[in-house]
Amino acid sequence: MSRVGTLMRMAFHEMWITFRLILVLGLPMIGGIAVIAIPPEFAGATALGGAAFWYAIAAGAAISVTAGLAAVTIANERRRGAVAWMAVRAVARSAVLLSWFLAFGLLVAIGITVGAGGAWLAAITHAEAPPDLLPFAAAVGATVAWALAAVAVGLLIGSVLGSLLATILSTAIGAGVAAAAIGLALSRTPLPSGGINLLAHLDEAGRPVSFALQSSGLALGLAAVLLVLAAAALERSDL
Amino acid sequence: MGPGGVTLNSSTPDALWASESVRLLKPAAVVCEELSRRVGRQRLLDRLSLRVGVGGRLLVVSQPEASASLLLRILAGLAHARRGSVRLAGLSRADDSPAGWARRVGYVGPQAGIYPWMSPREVLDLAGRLAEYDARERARRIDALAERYRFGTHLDEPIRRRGDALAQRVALAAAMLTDPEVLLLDDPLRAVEADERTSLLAIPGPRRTVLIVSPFPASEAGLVNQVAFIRDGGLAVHAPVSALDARGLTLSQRGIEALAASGYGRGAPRAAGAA
Repeated sequence: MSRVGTLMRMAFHEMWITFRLILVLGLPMIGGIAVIAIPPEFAGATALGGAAFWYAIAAGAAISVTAGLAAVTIANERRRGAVAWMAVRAVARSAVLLSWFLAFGLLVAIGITVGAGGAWLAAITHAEAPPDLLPFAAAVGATVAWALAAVAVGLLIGSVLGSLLATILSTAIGAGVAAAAIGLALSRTPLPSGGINLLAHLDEAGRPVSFALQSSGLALGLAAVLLVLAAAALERSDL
Repeated sequence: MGPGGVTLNSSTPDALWASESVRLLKPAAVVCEELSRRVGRQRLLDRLSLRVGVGGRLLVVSQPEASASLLLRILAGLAHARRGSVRLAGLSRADDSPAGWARRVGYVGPQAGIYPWMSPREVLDLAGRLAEYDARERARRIDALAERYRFGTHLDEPIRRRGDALAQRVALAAAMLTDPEVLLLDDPLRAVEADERTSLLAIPGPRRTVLIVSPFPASEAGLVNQVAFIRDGGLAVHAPVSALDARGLTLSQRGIEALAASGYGRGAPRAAGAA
């Protein structure tokens, strides 16, 4: 684990130098702040529902970009020999992958959580009565879980394909899933992207906390499966 | 430090090296057996077997050129063989403990593979951390390498300011940080000026085994004492450099091919077990 810690510090530093850290952390925060400027009644029956809808769009976009960045990062690390540099020092390729997952995951989780604070402020500013925090918080938590799965999608694709193709494909998958979760009605059964789906339709949710918890579980399970696949792909590839 | 204050050049237990029999037997530091690998439709390695004795300095050239580089990457654990086995410094690749493979085998490829924003000190410190040396040991080794590789005032500057030449020197220094028993060099230091390159590639340590892959064999003159030629995936010749001299051949791709064509014995070179 000490090696993963060392690699994570490297990953944060590399993200900082290349401005990726600002994008991953900043996009959902800016999205959350932007929600304050949008009247919530344009989207939802309640102030909280409206703010959550706009924040679902912001978070969906931020998660898509993060998936693309994760893909281009691991593809570039392979191409320019950084993974090889680690591998010849007996660092497991899966440890390199895990360090990037944790770095991206931590940043996007902080970004989404802080951004959700902005959306919450927008909701309580416009609400006549104090809204219930728990459903919103549960939906944000499930969105973070989907963000982790999206990072794992990016890492898997970046472990297999070249930089450009991996970036386009990962971003497209993230955007497609977000568009479906926002555009379609609230799903009857929980899905890995259920967090965004719930945020976009918070007013219509009968049991939002239960739905969010089940969606989170599915998203985290998906993230784990994708990471295992990515590790296997990276292990089999020539560096 | 070993007995009698002698600095050890190997992490192999000194008691082993003190044994007369081991010194006489000159054990193999690099052993690969029956390696096969295709890339696309091309068979780059075809049941290739090679043994290099401890302390050997081997130049590997190949036809096609990609075969030699692939062999080194397989030895370094960066590429996979379809079949066959590899042992370096008595270790299989499965030994990924920091005290094992990480410290005893070094590899430098054509790409430096390090982040250009890092300084040489940061790269060396990272290499030391991954080898799990404590802070004091890392500092000692970094100081020694900074002197040998003449980083001078660039030691704490981002590598990108000085270009590829510094990056490649840092990559070699990072590989040498653990004082590896086996060093694999895949066309190294091409961005460095010829004289300096020769000086840096004169790797010290009589027990250290060095394999160099180079598309320009003449540039490795004086650095190697053995040559191996891989043709169509198989080992065409493995001979001491003196075998070239004896036939009036030069250390060049053409000279090595001519040695192979002359029917020089396959397998272990007659006088190339150790340096």
